Amino acid sequence: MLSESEIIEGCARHDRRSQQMLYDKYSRFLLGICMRYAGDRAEAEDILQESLLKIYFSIRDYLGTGSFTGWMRKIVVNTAITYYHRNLKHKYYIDIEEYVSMETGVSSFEEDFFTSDELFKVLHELPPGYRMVFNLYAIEGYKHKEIAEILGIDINTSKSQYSRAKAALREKLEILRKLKEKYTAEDNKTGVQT
Amino acid sequence: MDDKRNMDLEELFRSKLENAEVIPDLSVRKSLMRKLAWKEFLRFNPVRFNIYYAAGIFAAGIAAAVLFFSDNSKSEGVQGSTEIKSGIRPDTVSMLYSPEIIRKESAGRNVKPGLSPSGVKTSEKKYEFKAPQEDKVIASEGGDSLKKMEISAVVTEKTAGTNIRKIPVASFTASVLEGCIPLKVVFINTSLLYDSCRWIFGDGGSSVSANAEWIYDKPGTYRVVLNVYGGGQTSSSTEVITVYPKPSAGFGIEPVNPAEGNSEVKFINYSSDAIRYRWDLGDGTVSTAFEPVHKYDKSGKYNIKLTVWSEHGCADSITLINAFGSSDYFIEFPNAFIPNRNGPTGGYYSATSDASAHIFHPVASGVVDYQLRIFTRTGILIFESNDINIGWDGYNKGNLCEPGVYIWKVRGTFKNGESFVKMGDVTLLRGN
Repeated sequence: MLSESEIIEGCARHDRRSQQMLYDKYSRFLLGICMRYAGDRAEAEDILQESLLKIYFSIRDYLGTGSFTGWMRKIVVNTAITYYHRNLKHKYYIDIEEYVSMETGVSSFEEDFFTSDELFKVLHELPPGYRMVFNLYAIEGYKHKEIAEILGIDINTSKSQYSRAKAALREKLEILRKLKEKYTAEDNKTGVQT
Repeated sequence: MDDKRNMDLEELFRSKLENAEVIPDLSVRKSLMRKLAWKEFLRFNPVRFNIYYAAGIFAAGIAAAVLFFSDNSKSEGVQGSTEIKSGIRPDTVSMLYSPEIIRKESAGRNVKPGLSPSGVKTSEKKYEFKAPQEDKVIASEGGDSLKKMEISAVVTEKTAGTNIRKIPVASFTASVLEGCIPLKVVFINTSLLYDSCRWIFGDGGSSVSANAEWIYDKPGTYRVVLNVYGGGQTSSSTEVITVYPKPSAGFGIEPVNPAEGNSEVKFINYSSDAIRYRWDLGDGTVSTAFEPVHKYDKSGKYNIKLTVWSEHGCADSITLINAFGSSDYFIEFPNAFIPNRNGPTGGYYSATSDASAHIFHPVASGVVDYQLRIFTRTGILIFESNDINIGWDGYNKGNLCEPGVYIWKVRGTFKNGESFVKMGDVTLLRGN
């Protein structure tokens, strides 16, 4: 296995082996980002492929300042945003006021109660707009003003979508928690019986 | 439990997902590498095989093929002349640069001797010399056979050319040359040796199908042109179609409600563009008068029919069913309507809602079974209704139909069991 700088240098030369190595080394990490933005796994893999092609062909632009993974993350996020804009035309999501503020719900979570797979699933169930805002604000750390510019929406829309996204996530997690507790209880019961 | 960290929603997602790794499917790697290879292929790179190399090879291949074929045709077609040319070439060259000959020629042309001929002149001479010299060479080499060969080659080339080139000949027949509106004419293409054709019907319509069918919905004289194309040539044929206007039949009765029995009825003729009339007065009496007067022996149900003919023999008729009774069973259609341009309305109508004639629908009474169908002039069914309360709104699949004539056909039964089948045309007008 080559080192990071060797891979970067090889990819800049369009060396086939380095390109494959970059994929083998970083694709899992990059797909993790894609999964947060996409509506499902197939979409995530589409975004991953697009991002990787961009990475391969613009790797010369990476100046070596700042972390390489951070640079790649930025490309993936930008690709996901482009992808969202492109597909928005074909999907019609009516923004109904379906998530009435559920701030009364649980606000504190145990770190390891949910698996990342479960969290991905919960994210995928969100309307695409909510998911974008949540990702950009809560995880990427963008400001609402920036998000409004990126997504071409009003700043207040960004804010309200964010709070609705949170409410929806809380609600979904609450349901998931109840289901999980029920099943673990049943498992325990059967465990006692056997 | 206590040692587990509790966190809020954002923290939860950040800690679990910010650096979460998901293993991509194997197929992703494959398809990515394929896309990458393709993109690399499209990118210019002097080291690796790519599209620019491929294009270069392709162009070189084409060039080679062109050279190869042009060589072939030369050696096959004008073999004789090539030989001759190669034979004379050294002579021509030596002539061009031999000062003697140039001077001789200049003298012959009354150019003052001693003037050195300019470059342009020499090049002119080149052609002047060539022709006689070629003859000379052929003659001197005893090249009669060669000359013959050359001639025969030229001849075969010419004859081959005429065989390949086909010249289209346009002709067609029309089912009728004159008739009454709406006139349907079937055109049969009898042209020869053509690849494609185009009909111009004279009323703005055209078609590219081999045989054509056209309905003229306006009276007039139309010049139908058929152009056929083939082998780079065009040929056309023309026919004139005359479409006569239709008269319109109409009449009234006076008095409208005659007293029971033995009363005299006067018929008032409102027809236009007609010269001949035939009244069928319903009790077996037939009259050809313009406005007949008739006395019915007994009251009852009389259907009065007026048929009128124009000078060209075009007919129109109108029937008044149960003229003197409270007519219980009848169905009549208008001959024009103006669809609502704001969009399909679904065709529901009532006497009050359709005052502006947005819907094509009958005025009827006593109808039990009912089927209305609307066709385009080319015979395509565009509307069908089995409900007498639903008429045609002038739309087909959500699109407003073109203004023009449409054909309607209705069949059904009245309450008394009597069945009816009627057909006619309706003009769709463009509203504002």
